[in-house]
Amino acid sequence: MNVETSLAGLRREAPANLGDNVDLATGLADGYRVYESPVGDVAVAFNPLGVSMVRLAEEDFESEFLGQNGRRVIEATPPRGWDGLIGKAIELGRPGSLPLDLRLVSPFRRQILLVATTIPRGQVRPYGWLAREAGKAGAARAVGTAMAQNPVPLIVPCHRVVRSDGTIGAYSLGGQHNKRILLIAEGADPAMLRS
Amino acid sequence: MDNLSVRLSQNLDRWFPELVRALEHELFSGLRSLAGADAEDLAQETFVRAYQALGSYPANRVATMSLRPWIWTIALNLGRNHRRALNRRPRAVELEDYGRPDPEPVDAVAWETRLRKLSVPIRRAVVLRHVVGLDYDEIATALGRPLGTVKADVHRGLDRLRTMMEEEDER
Repeated sequence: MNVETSLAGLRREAPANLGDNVDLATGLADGYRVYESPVGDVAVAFNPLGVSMVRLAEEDFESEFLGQNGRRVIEATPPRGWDGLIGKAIELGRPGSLPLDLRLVSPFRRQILLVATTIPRGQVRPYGWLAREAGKAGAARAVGTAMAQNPVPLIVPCHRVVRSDGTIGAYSLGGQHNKRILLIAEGADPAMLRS
Repeated sequence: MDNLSVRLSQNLDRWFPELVRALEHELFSGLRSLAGADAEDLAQETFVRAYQALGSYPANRVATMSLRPWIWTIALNLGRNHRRALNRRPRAVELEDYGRPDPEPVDAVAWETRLRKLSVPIRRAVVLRHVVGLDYDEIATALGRPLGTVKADVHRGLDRLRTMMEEEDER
């Protein structure tokens, strides 16, 4: 066989993961991994900027992610060091040093989410308290929307935000039932949490 | 490919995966011959740099780019010894065993050993011409070397490879 033909024989297929890894590294796609939580398995999505989404690990997670974020999500290994941080953030119900990608969240809602991260584990605060802390007293309804659209529940603990009349209020990650499970797991007094 | 540069200039995020699909196999093949086990990391990093660069260029520049030699300029600049700290980034989960590439055939290993005996400029020219399949103009652009030099390097490289094979046969 001549040299030219032999060299042409060195052509080969790229590894099947190459395109996905390029998409992950450029941010054209996010990665995700499934973690355990008190409310069952949750899918946690991430990209080089931070954690971008937490949802119950259900079959439509990938299509829901695409619909909400406009980019694909691929099952992947988190960046080095993040796996432990994500597990810890879910366990403690606060981000700690885990970066969050809140690009699609408006500055006001981002501020509300930031305030929510300061609520200690096992305690609750009313919507109005968050509004005041964020410097927008009277914006309790807007706080409710910000919580409902929290892209990273569990890590930003919107389950610790309740209604001013002491009722437990809505919860985006599986409804009131899950909100109660989370708060009881954290040691909150169930008698305080009326439906 | 010409059409693709126009598309990339109009919507980078939409069309960049097409660029990856169009060039990943030849990029990986060439880097495998030039950089061995680092080929996958280098190919990935090449595409990431390309994406970042395309995002920073004005649209009219992107629309007229010759993408193949340009990608190779990036890949070769990253260099053989440029191992990157890629673990800062998410990585796709490994596919099942049946999806993994076959082990290297003995013949491919022998050829990579022979190629490594060539000087770097000659090896690059030979690989770009005969493994990757670029034409001489594209190679000259990718390497930033005169066309005549590139042609001479390829011929010299092929001669050396033939000599190596004859010497192996005599042993």
